[in-house]
Amino acid sequence: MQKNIAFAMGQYYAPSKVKQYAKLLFIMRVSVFCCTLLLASLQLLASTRSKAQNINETSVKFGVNNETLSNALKKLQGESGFTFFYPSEKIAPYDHISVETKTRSVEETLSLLLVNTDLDFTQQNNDVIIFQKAAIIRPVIKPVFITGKVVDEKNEPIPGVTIKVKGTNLAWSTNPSGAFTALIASPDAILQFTFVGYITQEIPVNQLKNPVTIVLKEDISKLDEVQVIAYGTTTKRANTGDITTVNAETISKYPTTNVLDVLQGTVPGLNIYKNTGNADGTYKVQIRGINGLGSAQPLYVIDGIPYRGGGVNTSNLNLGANTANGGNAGGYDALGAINPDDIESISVLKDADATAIYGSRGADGVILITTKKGKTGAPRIDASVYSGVSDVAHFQPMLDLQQYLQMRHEAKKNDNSAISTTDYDINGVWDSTRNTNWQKALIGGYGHNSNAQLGISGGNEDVQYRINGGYNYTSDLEHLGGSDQTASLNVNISSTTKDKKFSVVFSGGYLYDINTQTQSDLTDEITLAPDAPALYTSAGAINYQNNTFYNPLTEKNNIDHTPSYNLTSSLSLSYKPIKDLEIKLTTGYNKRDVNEFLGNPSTAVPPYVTLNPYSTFTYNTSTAWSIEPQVNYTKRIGKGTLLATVGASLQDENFTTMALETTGYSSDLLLSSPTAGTSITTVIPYSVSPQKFAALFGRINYNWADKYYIDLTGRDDGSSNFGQNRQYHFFAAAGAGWIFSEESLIKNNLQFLNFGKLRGSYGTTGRDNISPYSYLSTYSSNGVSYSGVAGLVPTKLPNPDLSWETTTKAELGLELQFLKGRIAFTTDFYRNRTTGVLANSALSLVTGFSSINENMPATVQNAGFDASLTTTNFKNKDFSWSTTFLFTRDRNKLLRYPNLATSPYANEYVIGQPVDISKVYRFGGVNPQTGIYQFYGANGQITPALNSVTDKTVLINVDPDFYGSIQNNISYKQFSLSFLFRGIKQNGRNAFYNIGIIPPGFVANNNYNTLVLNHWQKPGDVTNIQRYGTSIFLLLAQNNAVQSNAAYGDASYIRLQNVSLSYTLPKNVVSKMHMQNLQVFLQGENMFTITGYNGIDPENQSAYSLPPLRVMTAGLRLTL
Amino acid sequence: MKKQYNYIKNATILSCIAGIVTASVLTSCKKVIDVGQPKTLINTANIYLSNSTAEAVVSGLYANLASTGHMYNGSGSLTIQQGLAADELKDYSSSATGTTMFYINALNSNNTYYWQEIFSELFTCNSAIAGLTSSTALNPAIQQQLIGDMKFARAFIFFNAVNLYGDVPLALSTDPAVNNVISRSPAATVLNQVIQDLTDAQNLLPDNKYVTLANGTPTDRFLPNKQTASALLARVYLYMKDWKNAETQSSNVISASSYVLEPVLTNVFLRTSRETIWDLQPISATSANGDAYSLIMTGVPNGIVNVYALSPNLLSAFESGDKRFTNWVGQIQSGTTTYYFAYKYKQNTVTGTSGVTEYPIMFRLAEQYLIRAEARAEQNNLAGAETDLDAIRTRAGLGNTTATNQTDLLNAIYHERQIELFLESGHRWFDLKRTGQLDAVMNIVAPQKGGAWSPYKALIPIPASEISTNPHLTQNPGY
Repeated sequence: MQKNIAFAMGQYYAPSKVKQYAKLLFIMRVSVFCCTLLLASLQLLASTRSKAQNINETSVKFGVNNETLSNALKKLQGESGFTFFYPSEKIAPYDHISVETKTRSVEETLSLLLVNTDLDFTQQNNDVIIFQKAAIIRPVIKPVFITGKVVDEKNEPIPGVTIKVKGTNLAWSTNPSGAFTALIASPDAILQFTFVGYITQEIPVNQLKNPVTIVLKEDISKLDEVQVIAYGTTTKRANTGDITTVNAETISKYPTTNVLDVLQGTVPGLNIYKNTGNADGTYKVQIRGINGLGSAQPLYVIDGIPYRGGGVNTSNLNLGANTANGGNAGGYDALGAINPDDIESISVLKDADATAIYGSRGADGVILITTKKGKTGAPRIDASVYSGVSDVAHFQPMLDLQQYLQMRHEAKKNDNSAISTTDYDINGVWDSTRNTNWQKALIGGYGHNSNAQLGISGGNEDVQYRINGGYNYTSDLEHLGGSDQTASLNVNISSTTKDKKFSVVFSGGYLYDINTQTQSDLTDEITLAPDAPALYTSAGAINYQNNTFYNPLTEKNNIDHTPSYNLTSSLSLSYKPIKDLEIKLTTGYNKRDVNEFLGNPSTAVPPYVTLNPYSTFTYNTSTAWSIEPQVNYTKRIGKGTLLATVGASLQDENFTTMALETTGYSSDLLLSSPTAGTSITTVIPYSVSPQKFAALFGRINYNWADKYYIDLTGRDDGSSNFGQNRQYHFFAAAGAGWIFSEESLIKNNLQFLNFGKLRGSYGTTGRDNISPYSYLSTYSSNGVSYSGVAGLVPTKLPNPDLSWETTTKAELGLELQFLKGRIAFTTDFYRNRTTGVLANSALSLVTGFSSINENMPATVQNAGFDASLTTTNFKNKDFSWSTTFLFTRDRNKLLRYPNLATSPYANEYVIGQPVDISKVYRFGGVNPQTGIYQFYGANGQITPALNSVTDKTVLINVDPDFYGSIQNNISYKQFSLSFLFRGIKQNGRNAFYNIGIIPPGFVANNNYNTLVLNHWQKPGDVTNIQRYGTSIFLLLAQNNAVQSNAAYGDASYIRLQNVSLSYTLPKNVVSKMHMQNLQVFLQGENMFTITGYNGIDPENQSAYSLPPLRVMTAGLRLTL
Repeated sequence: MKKQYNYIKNATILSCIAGIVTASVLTSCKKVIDVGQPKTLINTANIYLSNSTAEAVVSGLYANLASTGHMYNGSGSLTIQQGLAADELKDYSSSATGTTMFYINALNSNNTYYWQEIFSELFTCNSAIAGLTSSTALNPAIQQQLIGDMKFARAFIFFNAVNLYGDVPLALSTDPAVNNVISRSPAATVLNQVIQDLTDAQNLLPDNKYVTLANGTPTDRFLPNKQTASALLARVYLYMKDWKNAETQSSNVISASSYVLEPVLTNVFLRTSRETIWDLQPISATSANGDAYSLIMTGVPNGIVNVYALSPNLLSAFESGDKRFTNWVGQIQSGTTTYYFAYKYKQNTVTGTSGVTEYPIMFRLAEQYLIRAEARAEQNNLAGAETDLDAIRTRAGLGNTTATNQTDLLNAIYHERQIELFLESGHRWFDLKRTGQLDAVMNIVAPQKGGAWSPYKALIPIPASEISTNPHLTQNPGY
């Protein structure tokens, strides 16, 4: 130790600069004088080290606030592991030293500590010697000490702004209240203030006066916002693919539990139909039309892990089946099991460049969901709560009592049919003066919903966390006694080592949903006769009117109890061994169970029916795990940057389903037990659908001078769904972008154009959307035995040649921004062509089956364009107003189908027409003589006996003609208002269709839309509604009429889809309440609709399912 | 230092994992995505490797035949639908139900009717016959019987198909490429295949399988044997007017020791009946015979239940004193109206522990007597014919036939079939067709039922969807 000190002493008096020798003598003198003192005062605190380390290579996390230099150095010595030697008396005068806590090299830290002193330092082995600079002979450079804060245009502080001395690594950042302190050695330095989403400001230090307030302007161009893409991130500026991102701020404006509600109308090219207004109901989600055939849906990926979308098999059919738009069968939409409040952003990937890296499953587009992560800063508690009501916004006009009775009597009279003993509505058994509006009575009430969220987040440079819990309650509008409740927990932890080389991100979510809505949807009971009896007796019991009335509330006694459990988890490990190289592993596991119990107690039937109680139990489990190692490499080459990614993917998904029915219960009280009955039978046979995917993928992205971008992606993908020799396929795409606004010619001459990019992409993606083992010939148990042997039956026809469906996507996009981003316009023209379409092709029943899975020789094309235009109409301190228009036009057509005429699809498809056209009869109005519907046959003449194949000559196209939306965001001082109108031009099933096959007046207790008033009454009448009657010929004609073009009509609408009004309390008020933020808000969904549609709702077009509801809520959101 | 070492270690592990996964993906792609054999299905390649799975396929087919709602049991059956189409039932169901179209003889090509069931079952037969025949792993005795079972079933199904549709596709393979473009074969060609299959089945199936057990209880008769094949063959020859062979085959059955005419009429349709040649075991131990459930009226018709009453035509055909009227016809009174209903099967619900006491009978001995009577009469063996006819009449409590010439005797036999076999497997409809009486009877009956008759309606329409899928299929004239 002694030696060490002596050595140090020796070096202490050996300054390097020769021209300082004159003064050195003086210093030596002083020093010798003080030698003893100096020796005594030398601090030796740190442990020794065996091996020398460089102070510029050793990092230390260090910070002091208003400390003496002496204490600061002691602290740094303790934390750095180096031994510091310094003359105490020279150190002593310096106090009030502040250095922001941050990880820096020891060298940098010391520089900061000593920046405003006349001290300097040097390293000798493990020791650091601090000495007085030759201050006397040096010109004094006065360091600048700057303190201030950074705010936005509304004078709100912005924490986390990076303040950097231009051209150096010296940087600070603002604290949670936006304040910062910086010490700058050179008054000529330029400070850069940067923050994501704001325009970077550069200010020379000599123009600043303490304390400074820097106002950062919002970057309305959004060009440099982070966009999540497949296996990485990019910015809007650099992106070569077609991606639309919806962020948490937009999501927070919707009072919903399913984020698909938010995507409805906010993403160009994405069309979403809501199948039902019931909680947990399903949606139809389509990105740019139907690429193949049938119910294709996008691939959902949550934090890198694939997530099974769509509905699941349930017995409760009112959640999605039975809908006009051909929604997914079953209910419990999978996206409803993700709490929207936990979502940071949603990226909708559309073109080949963006989706080809998902290979086999990218054809129908990809929806990437990224959950919220914690941010650096003091712990922050966010809470929100809202509550509101929901109702049916629009009803259809129905016959009133007089019109109804008139219809029934006229029907009887027309066909000379006697009023029978069961015609209770007109034979006097029911009080024919009762007049009930059944729409109001059954679905005219209000549902209630409440939602609460509570979360904590924060962290430091090393660890960030976010924990959020949510609860939602939605009551059944139909007052059948059910409700839907969800409780969710989401945890995110991110951690990075001090050297930033190794990082971990974990996201885990769990959502429990309990739905107790009964399986009856009273929407299909609104056709009760106006004089049907009261629902309740005067004593309050369910009224059966002496066993003449099937009371729709009968099923109130049914038990529907569906718990579902959703686990999502993702872990991402990343290591950067050297600069530019990242090795990453993303792995995760998702599991979702939907277990439905439907109990039918003996009390859930009218008294005139005896029911042996029974229960149905449905079990659905979907699991997915995924391992994806990935290597990212970044390299500057020439004037450009190369980004390369290679990776592998291994995914395993499994779906099991089963439904059982148990009968023979001795008591209703045992119904919830599957084993308490005497007999268990199969409703849905147990099925296991395992799928495995393995892939190698890669992407090379090169940008030259931030002007020219090229992007190549490829994926060799294998799927277990295909036979041995058909399992692997290679998908690839190329994309390119040209920021022409960076060309000097344009830059100099068209200054109003601040950004212009032309991009294009071309490539292939695939779809393997068939059930596992489709290539194999199999038998399965039929669940019954004969002669004591359990039977086996053939299951399907095998197709060993099954292979991929491939979609080739071509796209050209143009992005323009004018006036510094105040006008932003994007348009994309695309053409997707799908070949080898996977279809469950109809076969002649002579083959033993009705269909076979095959690759159709068809080529299906979707071509169109979408566009978005965002204008910032006003923007100043108090008032801002921006508007976004979205527009989409997609045309689907069957491009090619060799030998269609002789194929099984000869009567289903037409070359050049959309693939979901329907062929229907040509309606010929009502025969003026007989008063019965007539139809034109294939020969163009009225044909009495229609051939159900050849006489269907009219093509009905229910694809949207175009759709779009207009969104306005307006803020004035503390108020903020946004509203979104969504519109769609389309044809659909009209009220005539929804009459169904029972002609008006034909049976008792069946009411109709008022359109039947215009019916035929006497020979010579020319009208479009046939006569009232009870003849079977009316029934047959009605059945044909709903299969004719009369059943389709305009179903276009414009809907005020979302309104959100909020008031944020002023900061000074809020801080008195010890809060950071407090906001109160009103939100509404589906507020009103402008439409000529004559049924209940043009969106789900159903006479049986509750329409999408109007929701109005009020709530508050606060941050502590 | 130590920390840094940890990072390096972690990174090494991570790189190793990445490397291993990547390497394994690269080297064994096939294995990586192997999901193994299906867990709830059996690969067809494995079915005929064991006796038990091979037997299960045959059980699966019979269970399918026996299912309520299919062609041989309850609603949707030949008994009910062809009974409605002919002159056996009066329909009180609400006109919106599917069977109304049968009743008013207004079938159309928009419906598939029996078509799907027929060809789905034939696929199983064809698949099984191919699999069983080529298998080398099965016990030869079992293998032989199972092939016999399947050939019998195939003949039975094809025969019904021809009777309903006329010419039908002779689908004998399982290859969709063949069957999806197949044309209809002439009925005669199909019937040749039926005879071939039945001849094979006679050789393959056990002889006289059913014997009465020592305690007097007859065994169940739900698996076909050699005599079942003969009984069907007798029926086939009768329909083909091959009288000699029809007599030979029916004699084979009548002479077999296992079968006797049950002297007591109420015992004929019991599970224990010794008259049964082949019946179908119900697939559920708690569901009644479907015919009984559908046909027995427990109250006045209300549009949904109790809707099938016996038609006036059938009721008036009973001779006075016919014990079959008192034993096989039920009545229900409502005011001054009496509804009569088929009461051959009497167990319309299964309660308690009694189990199912009546199985749907496909073949019974009485029919064989009537086949032989007709075959003998056609061959001018009037005495022999009278003997067989009188065997049936005697049991019904009626006197011997008074017919003295061939024509009268044949008419008497037709009449006897109408009564004895009423509402069983559509006998009446098929008899009217094959004996040329259909138009005469239906011209009277159809208007009474609210419909209209045309001779083309003797055959039911090929589903239009089938013709659109396979343009090689042609529609029956008139549709």
